[in-house]
Amino acid sequence: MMTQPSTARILDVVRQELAENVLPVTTDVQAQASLQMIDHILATVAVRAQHEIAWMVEEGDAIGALGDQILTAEPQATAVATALAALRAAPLTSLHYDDVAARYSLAGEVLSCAFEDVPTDAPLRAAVEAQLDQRMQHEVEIMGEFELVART
Amino acid sequence: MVDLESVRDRLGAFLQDQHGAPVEVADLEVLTGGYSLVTVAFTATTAEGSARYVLRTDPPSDAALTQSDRAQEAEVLAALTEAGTVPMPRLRWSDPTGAALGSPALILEFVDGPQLLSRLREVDDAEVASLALQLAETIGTVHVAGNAAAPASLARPTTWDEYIDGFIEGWRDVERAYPERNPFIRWVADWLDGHRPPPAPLTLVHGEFQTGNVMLDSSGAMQVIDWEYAHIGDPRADLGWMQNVAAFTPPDPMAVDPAGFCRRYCEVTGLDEEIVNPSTVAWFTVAAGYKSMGALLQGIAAVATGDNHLITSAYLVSAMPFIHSLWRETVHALEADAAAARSTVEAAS
Repeated sequence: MMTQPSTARILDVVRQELAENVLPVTTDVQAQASLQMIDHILATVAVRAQHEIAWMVEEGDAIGALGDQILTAEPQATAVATALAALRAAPLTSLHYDDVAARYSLAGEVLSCAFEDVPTDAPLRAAVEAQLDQRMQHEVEIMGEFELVART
Repeated sequence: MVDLESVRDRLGAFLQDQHGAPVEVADLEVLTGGYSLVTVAFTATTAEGSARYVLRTDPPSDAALTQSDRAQEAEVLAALTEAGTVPMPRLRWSDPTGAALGSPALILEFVDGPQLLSRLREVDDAEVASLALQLAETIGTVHVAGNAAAPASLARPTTWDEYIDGFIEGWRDVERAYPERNPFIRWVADWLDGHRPPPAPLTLVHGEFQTGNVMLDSSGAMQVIDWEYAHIGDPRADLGWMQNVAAFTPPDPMAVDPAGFCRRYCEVTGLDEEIVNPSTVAWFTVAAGYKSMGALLQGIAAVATGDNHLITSAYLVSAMPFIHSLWRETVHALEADAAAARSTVEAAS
């Protein structure tokens, strides 16, 4: 298969075509709003195409390691234990999207339980918060600039 | 796309039934600005004269971004119209089942003026500050008058705690219903649970109060529109939601002078500044969106499962990271304020 131009680059070309040759001749306000939304969606999809699989795998691994630390330090963290067991029972068998996303969701459950099980004054709490901030950093990079279109 | 010819024909027949004489419907204009319902302005002419109205109707079910109950909205608007104490356009007719108009619909008087959001974007800082205080008075008036004006059929929480529990569980339910786990929602629900503000008296809450849902009429008075999420609840939910939406669609009128906004609101409502202040409002900025954001996430989930093909739902996937960031910033700021206050108290003692 051809990998060049990349998916992200092709999406850039599509966005440019829509912005330069389609939007200027579109007079219907609803269609204009749709085109603005499509432009934003394509920008986010381009970032996802570049990084999404890697980010999900990396975050999943980091959350698994964090879960192990929590179980050592916080024996009462039963929800984390259950969620971590489910994550461990679903090892990554492929890098196909559905497999990676399913494991990422299980990792998300471990992180969610960490907020419920790890007290705010516990030494590991900062690491739990940092993991959420890592997730947010990736989300924000995908989102890019965002202001609701067609709201006035 | 809205089939305006079909809308015109149905409206003409419906209004003729209501009026008992021929009604000509003309000058139909689709109004943009909202994502949930189809809104069309039109002129109705009878032998007595012409008037302009707004039709609010559900989109086709496969094109609905969110789901809300037009029959309940009609009941709320009819009660508020009859009371006449809440600043809003009067409800003139409704077709809650959609039997006549094709889908459930409301017809309200047209407000001949700009949306507050548009106005705020045109004016200088001094005018924004002035409009912000007028807005505080307007929503204060809604909250003062709304309790008596609301229909008896609106569910009334037994206690404030029960109502607030509903917010927190509401967020947890939203997270559970989504097809993948969302640690931001679970974190924020936990945080909200542990940092509840002091209680406020429950009253009529608009439920989606924002500058896009406030119109300035020809006299300059503010009229609040789009009551589909109205309920009995904590009035600070409206202030918090307004700030939440303003982060997406600036400017935020309350941000000009948050303490001044709250002070004016307290003057109108009689509530204490210990109850309504920028910090307690900020709690609701985080908490308030579970119904609206829940509906939004329902639509996004339907895109994931193939049950929804709306470009708006696909676009609004980006609303979630935006709101996650807003929550993190707000919570960190509130915790920093609380830590500073604790230090001050400790230093004084």
